[in-house]
Amino acid sequence: MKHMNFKINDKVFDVIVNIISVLFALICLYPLYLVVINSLSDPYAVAKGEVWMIPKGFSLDSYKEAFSNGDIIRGYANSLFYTIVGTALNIALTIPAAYALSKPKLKGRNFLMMTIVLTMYFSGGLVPHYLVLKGLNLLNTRMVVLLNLAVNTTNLIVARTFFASGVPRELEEAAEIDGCSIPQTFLKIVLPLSKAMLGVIVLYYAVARWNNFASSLYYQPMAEEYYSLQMVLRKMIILMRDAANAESELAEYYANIFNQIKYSIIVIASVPLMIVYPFLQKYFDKGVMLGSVKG
Amino acid sequence: MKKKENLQSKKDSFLRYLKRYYWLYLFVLPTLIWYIVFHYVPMGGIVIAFKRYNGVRTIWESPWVGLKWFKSFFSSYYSKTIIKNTIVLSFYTLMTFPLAIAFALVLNELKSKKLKQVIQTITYAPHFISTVVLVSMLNLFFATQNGLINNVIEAFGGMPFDFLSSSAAFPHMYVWSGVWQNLGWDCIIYVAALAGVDPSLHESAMIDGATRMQRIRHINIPTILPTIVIMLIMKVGHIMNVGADKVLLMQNSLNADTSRIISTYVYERGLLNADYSFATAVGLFVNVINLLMLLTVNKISAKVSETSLF
Repeated sequence: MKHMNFKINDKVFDVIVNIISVLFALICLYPLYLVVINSLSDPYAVAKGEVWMIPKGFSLDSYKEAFSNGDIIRGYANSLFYTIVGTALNIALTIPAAYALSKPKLKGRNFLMMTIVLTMYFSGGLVPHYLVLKGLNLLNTRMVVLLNLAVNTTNLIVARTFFASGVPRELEEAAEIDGCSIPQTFLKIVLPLSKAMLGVIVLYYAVARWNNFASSLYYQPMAEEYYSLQMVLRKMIILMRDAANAESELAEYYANIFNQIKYSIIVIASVPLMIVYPFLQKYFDKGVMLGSVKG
Repeated sequence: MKKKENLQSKKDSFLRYLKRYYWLYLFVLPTLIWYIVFHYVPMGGIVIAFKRYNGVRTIWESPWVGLKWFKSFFSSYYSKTIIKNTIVLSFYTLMTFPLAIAFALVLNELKSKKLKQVIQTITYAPHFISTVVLVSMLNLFFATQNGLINNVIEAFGGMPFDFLSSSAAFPHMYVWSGVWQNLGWDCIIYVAALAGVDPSLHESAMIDGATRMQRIRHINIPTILPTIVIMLIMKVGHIMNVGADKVLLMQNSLNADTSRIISTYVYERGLLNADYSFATAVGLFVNVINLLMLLTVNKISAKVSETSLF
């Protein structure tokens, strides 16, 4: 009797666990799905709020509209530039440094690590940061977006931890005995063994680059031609919001555009992520473990 | 004579070391320069919090004013509201912290590994959409006209509610959209920690007749406790550090009563109004509070649970 109770309880438990998991997954998925089906539906049906299960009157009009908008095209090009060049810069500044910092032969490496980790807990704050960039004449340039956030300390620690423990020391020592210089060992032996970690770091950086809008907001206030796609999207949100209150012509103009493309532009702004997502997925569990919480 | 030889050989070995290992220093150098320019020089810039700096004269030439800016911030009538708003948002967010742990425990109980994988893939996804996209989605779904939520409310005979410009709704909108976006991602770390639970513990507990709830309570949770503590310390260390990004996107004149927080205020005064010294002082206040909180919690935790960040 007691045993049977036990079994029934176990079944009930399983059902509850399954329901909770599936329910939360649906909550995560549905808003994303809703955006996609609305972006693919007839704008008229969308405006009437009829689209909530399947696309209605399939139409790509809103995408055509979005891609005929100069701001969006330019924002897209800028974002691609920031993502590709920015990520390359991220990697160039993170990976070799992380490698060197993993080597006990580097004298003063503990001090260097402390110097770097300290910045996670204390910073000058927004205004001093802004003033330094201003002093370097970097405000309202493309460069400022690239240089700002050029190293992410967490990623640096992840890479360093990996180099310290994930690459067999014997291989490096053998290369050294064979007369390889440090850059040779690094490029020919260490990096090929670090592909999984590199994959994770590249993708983390690329996602952060693509999604970043704060750098533009803070440091390119007067340079609309350099705005990333996220900033263009933000401008549209704000102007649409203002259109509801004040009735300026410009705001109304944007509100009109935004109404037609509001769903498709969300998809457009997220497509690169959807493309990298399966790759990202492959590395997730590994990647996060690499970092471990304590650096 | 011997001393000289010794010195010579020391010098030789140092040269040999340098000849081989100077590369390590070259590898670090650019990154170090970046940290100095983008982190340490701005830290030096904090002095303007104690000066009257307006961008006309150099920082060096600007006169000292002591704690003037701190006093003027704390004596202003809005400082209380701004600090309160910041604390409300961050404590409210902190209160949702156990959800990720709970969801990780639930995922861990799924019998089907395939299902677990699928659920994880789906629940990670929102983490990767941008803040701008997230807020755009909120604006669409919570709009008064044709927003999904208000459509549902109306379908049930309710009155449409303007979530987007309501001071009362703002903290909930902010926190729960954050939960939606990050819950799946936040639980990865606990899922990974749960994978490290010793299966023999469960086996012997089952022989002793422990129910699954009991096993979760007495085996799983204690195993991941150090991870929980570390994550908690890190969160508390950023307690006053509610980022401006998302709030700025959600903010409007109608919900400003609750959406005006320290970081958005620093942005407004510092970058938009060019009150450099004043905004730096406010930012410094936040930074110091954060650091003190981090150190305190870390210390308490080291004493109580023997888990600490450093």
